[in-house]
Amino acid sequence: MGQLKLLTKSIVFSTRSRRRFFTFVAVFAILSGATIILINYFDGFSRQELLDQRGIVLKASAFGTPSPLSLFEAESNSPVGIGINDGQTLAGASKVIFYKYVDFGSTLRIFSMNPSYPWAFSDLKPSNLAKGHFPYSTHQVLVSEDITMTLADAEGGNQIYTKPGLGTLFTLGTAITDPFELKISGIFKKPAVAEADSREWIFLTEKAFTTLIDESHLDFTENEIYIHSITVIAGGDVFLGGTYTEVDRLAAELRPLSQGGSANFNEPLFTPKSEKNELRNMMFLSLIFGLFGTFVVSTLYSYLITRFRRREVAVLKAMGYSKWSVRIVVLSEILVVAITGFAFGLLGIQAFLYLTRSSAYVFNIVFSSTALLSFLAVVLSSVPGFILITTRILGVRPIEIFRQK
Amino acid sequence: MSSNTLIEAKNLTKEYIRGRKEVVVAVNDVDLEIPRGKLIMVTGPSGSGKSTLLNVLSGLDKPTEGKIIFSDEDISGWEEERLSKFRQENIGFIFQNWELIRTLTALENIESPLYPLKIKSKEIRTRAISLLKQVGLWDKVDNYPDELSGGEQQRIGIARALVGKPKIIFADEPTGNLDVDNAGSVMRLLKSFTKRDTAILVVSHNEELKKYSDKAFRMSNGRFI
Ligand SMILES: Nc1ncnc2c1ncn2[C@@H]1O[C@H](COP(=O)(O)OP(=O)(O)OP(=O)(O)O)[C@@H](O)[C@H]1O
Ligand SMILES: [Mg+2]
Repeated sequence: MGQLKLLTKSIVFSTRSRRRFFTFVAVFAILSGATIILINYFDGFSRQELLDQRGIVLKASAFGTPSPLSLFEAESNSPVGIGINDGQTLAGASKVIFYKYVDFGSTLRIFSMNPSYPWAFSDLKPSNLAKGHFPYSTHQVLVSEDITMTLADAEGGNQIYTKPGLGTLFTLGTAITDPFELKISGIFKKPAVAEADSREWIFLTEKAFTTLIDESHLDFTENEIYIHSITVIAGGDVFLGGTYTEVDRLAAELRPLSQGGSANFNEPLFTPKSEKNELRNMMFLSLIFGLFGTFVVSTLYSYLITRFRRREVAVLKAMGYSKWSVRIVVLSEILVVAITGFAFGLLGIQAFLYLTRSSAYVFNIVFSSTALLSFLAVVLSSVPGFILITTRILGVRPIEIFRQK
Repeated sequence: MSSNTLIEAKNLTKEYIRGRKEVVVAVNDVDLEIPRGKLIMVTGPSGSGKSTLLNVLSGLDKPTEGKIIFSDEDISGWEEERLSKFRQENIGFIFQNWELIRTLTALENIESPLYPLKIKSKEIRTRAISLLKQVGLWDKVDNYPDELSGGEQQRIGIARALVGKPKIIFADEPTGNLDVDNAGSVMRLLKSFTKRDTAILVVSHNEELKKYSDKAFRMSNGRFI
């Protein structure tokens, strides 16, 4: 009870010294901003690379020909009896993602993409993204470059966009009972296969895709929903190595799907093993560097705070505060500053991303795994520094501090 | 040791090593008894060992030799955490530079020693308010230390030392940074608290302050003279 009271009091008091508080909040905001950018980069990079290392892509072989592979066929007619269903987990796989599409009218081909794994879609690597970011909400859409569509505008009239830019709003015409408005969040370079296709390509999140099908007057059946590709993501741990065995095993298991005259799929695509190891080492190194960097800065920061409060600590100890009580006093300031600083850093980065629309990986950073990871990195890496510094200052006897005028 | 004795120091010696080999005997074989409820003074010139004596008696520093008997227990060999708890329960400190915490108001400074204890916030507040009134600063309840004069800060310091109901208060040059008028009122205030059985040990180079004490010792070269 006593320590809890001390903690709440100390938290309130720690914001009182305005100058010190705002200075440290600013320092921490910059520190965590840098960490967030770093981790966002590595998180995005690693998710793409990790996916490359873990993902096995099965591309529908009949894609773009007059008889595309339907969802129905893919799920029920697997030639070697490997039934793969959307969302189902294959033994040894952590996820199976279907990338579906429908032909909407005669000019539009609408794809579904998994917002958490946008680049598992084999034609849609971040390097193919010309502008903006992947859609993450149901009202966002990714369109191909130089798209020309005839689209119903907000008033219901038709309007032609030769080159719609980021942020352009449109509704998907009259074929939908309850038309929903979409906003262009990103523009991608059309892959070679798409060039050959006369329709315009747009990408919606899986959820928006489902809604579109449900709301459509065109009454799509399972035979009219086609499969572009299936990505199987192997389970196991990349760092510990279990994944690689799974990838090889799954690839071998899936290979029969591409064999025989009437095979539905192309040869499974996956990253060869030597590249995997290199990538893994690189990621591991950057992780170590990132954590070490935040450790150094946050230790420096604990050091500064305890230096500022040295005399106060001496007085508290003379008054009979136990080591833990003094720790609580110092910790509460560090805690308040860290959380406030982190929040500012995060909002700052979010504002930056919003204004520049520059991150292909994570756009809504506030609720992303990047934010969580960064927070954990910042907090975890400051723990050893904090313990180191407070133990050092707590070891100094009050009279020694009083003697230094 | 009479039943009225609170602290008894026997053959107390504190040596410092200065530089490489030079041994400074800051306190040299001192015997001292501090009775309950009395204001005891130790005076002496600079460097005579007053602060060292006070630090050793209060458990802030360890004696090189000798015993410090506090309620039948020798505290001289105790380790840090035990001494902390002991200070929390028995001892109050008043410092020359007041050492108030700048981010706490007058009232919160007085309360601060009690925060880690299992005492309800309401009870803490009641005690602090009562002390604030006794030191005559009720109108400065929400002031921060920077908004108080030196004399006022020292009176807050006195209230803070008293809030834990200590058996003894140690004060090293409590009037060292105050003018004559303020020094007098601080000493009178301290003296007034001895009526509640609180012992007070004041250490100062200022011989003038003797008149406020119940008993005074003079120190020179680490010894009482
Ligand atoms: N940490 C230390 N290391 C070495 N010598 C010390 C130390 N602390 C005190 N001394 C020496 O011990 C002697 C007594 O010092 P002390 O501070 O107790 O004197 P004092 O009577 O309080 O003086 P003042 O009136 O100036 O405060 C002095 O000679 C001082 O130099
Ligand atoms: Mg002194």
